[in-house]
Amino acid sequence: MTPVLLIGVAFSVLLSVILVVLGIDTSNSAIIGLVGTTISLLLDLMLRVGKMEQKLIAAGGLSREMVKDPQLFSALTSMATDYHKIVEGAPYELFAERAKDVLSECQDNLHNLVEGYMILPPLSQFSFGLKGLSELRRSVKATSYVDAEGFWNSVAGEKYFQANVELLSKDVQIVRDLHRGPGHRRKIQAHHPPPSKSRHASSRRLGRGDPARALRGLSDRG
Amino acid sequence: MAEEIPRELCEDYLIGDDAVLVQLLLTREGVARAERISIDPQDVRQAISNFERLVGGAYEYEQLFPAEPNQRL
Repeated sequence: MTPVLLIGVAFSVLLSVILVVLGIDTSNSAIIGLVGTTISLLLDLMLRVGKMEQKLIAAGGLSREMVKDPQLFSALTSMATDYHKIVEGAPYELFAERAKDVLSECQDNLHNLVEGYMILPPLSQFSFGLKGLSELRRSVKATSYVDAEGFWNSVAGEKYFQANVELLSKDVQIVRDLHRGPGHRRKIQAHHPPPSKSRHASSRRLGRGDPARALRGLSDRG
Repeated sequence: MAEEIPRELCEDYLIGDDAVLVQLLLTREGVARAERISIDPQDVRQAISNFERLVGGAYEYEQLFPAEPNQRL
């Protein structure tokens, strides 16, 4: 029973009782109460129809989207079937809770993409990395806050470094701000005269299309 | 120096073509726990502004590492 109907019926009954107590004819009081109840029922019915109409419109829109995209249709159908199987039939509540969580996670991830961002575990298959870097055409502005010496000494780090050099050859401007860490300095030293003093923060503007200068400034991954 | 940098600027990120922001989300220990890639213009603008603040107050490479004879390690 909806709150509208509940309140309407309770009000009608109360009204009838008050009228009887005040000495108005019982049949008239009952009729007034019934009219009140009927009005409540009608209001409730109208609300239900309104909600149903909205659901039908949403379902219609969803159907249109699914018809346009067979992959979406297949995925959503499979998800809905599996979700109901788990939520209604799983022997352990934990599975149902996990199913709800997975669905909510999927919603959130898709919505994040619409908002213009994604959050990934490090080194995921969708990480920006080399693929994203190679698509850049104008500029790279990067900071290196953490000391990622391990990364730069790895095969991945070396490839990333080479990708930076290739970008410079394509006339991409790279500006890298190095905050701290011995790893930065060692990497720079490996490609350029060593520093005279141990310093923690530095900045280097790399000239357009000047790989030699890039090697001097490039260090940790941004 | 690193100690002089305002806390809010101590981040590890890359801005590509002034259009995409790739940010490393770090743990307290400075270990990368996630990567956030954003094309939201507001995020990118904020990062560019922070980057300009950083570069504006930074030392040039030559100031810290004056030219010395080449020596590969």
